[in-house]
Amino acid sequence: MNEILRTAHAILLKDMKTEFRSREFLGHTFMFALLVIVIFNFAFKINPQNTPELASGILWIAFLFAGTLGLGRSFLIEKENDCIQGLGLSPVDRTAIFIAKFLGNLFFLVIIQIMTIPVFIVLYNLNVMEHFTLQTAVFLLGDIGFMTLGTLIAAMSVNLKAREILLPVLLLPLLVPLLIFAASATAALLTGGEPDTYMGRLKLLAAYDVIFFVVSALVFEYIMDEL
Amino acid sequence: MQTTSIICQKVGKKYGDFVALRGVDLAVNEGDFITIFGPNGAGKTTLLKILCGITRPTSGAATVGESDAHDPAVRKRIGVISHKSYLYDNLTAFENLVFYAEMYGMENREARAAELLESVELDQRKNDLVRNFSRGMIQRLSIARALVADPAFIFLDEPFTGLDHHSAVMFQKLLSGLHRRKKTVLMITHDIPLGIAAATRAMILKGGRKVHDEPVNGMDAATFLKIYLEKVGT
Repeated sequence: MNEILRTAHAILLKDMKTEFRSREFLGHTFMFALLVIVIFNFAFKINPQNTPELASGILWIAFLFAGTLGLGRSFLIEKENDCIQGLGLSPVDRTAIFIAKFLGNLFFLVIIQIMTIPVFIVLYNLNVMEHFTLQTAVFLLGDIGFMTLGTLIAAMSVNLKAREILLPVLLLPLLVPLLIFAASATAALLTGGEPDTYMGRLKLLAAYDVIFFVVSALVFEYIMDEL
Repeated sequence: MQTTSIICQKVGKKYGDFVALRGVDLAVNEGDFITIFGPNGAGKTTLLKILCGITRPTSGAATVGESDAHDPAVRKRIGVISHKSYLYDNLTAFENLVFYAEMYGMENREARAAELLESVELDQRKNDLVRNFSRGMIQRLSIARALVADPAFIFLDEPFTGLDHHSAVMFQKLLSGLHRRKKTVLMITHDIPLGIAAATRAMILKGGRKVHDEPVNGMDAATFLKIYLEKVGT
């Protein structure tokens, strides 16, 4: 296990270094997330009565869209000069590659969220972070499930010609349960709903994360064989 | 006495209905330098992919150093050089080598990277990003990458692609150096003069079958070209 974590750490650091040097991803993805929440702000008639329900959905859709945009990038770095082959030829455990890519994607999504949420609070006049600890837990559990499946599907689609289209087409249907649990938990916290409501959603999110993380880590080895 | 280090027994590979390899037998001795020639679609790259453990044969068996080629333990003992560099453009030459050394679980990563950069005469450019390198420099660095864990087996897939004459000659010298260090080298190339110069043995594949496999014994490129055309046709 230590060996897997050490390798995952090295791949993660390499990804961060290449990403921050190329400076291609973070700025564009943030702009995209920002545009989604601004456009929804104009598209819907938002009033104090419907704001919490609408806003939680809008916020999660912005995260899903922006996150999906970034997912494709994580394996495209490896396609450059066929580095994925070089990585596959080295004696590393495939699970380490999955963990590194998952953590990298998660890190960038959290950065996007940290940048987007303050803008959202100002634009929608709604403090989504009022219950800071619980809301952070909802975001993190939602992010983990999203990035677990996203990393797996991004690896599967990286060799496809129409990967930019196929990645969201394959991924988004699988994320519907997660979107429902996460958006309703966020809405419940915004409306000051019953603890049973959001705690139930949090448990469902945690279960979703555990199931898909284990399955994805196990399946990833076979996907690597095809890359 | 020489020991056989790479063995293929009736190796076959199908991709759907397409047959890429048809029962290829091969036995490579330790320290041999074998070059495999053949027209496009002959099955050369497929054979190399099987030996590297990237893909499994549909029939037959391939062993590298007494282990099944798909065994993860084999990966520690092979170095692969392709026309693709497997290098990260946004890392420096030094960072690339340190990264790969880490992937092979090596201890003295920085020292090994520095030593390899010196051996391929890139030590002066160690802190330059790979994206600023010429094709020749990238190929030299890719040799260093393949040698990072001091592998016993070196596999090369069209390594001369895109190299100018000067870089190709320099690359050839580096390959000869590998052979002198008793590495077992298996190379695939279309370039007969460069491919035959370093080899101790030459093999020709055609339509997934082995049609020629003989020691080179100082044969010149022109003589081998005649054999090649005879076996493969124009």
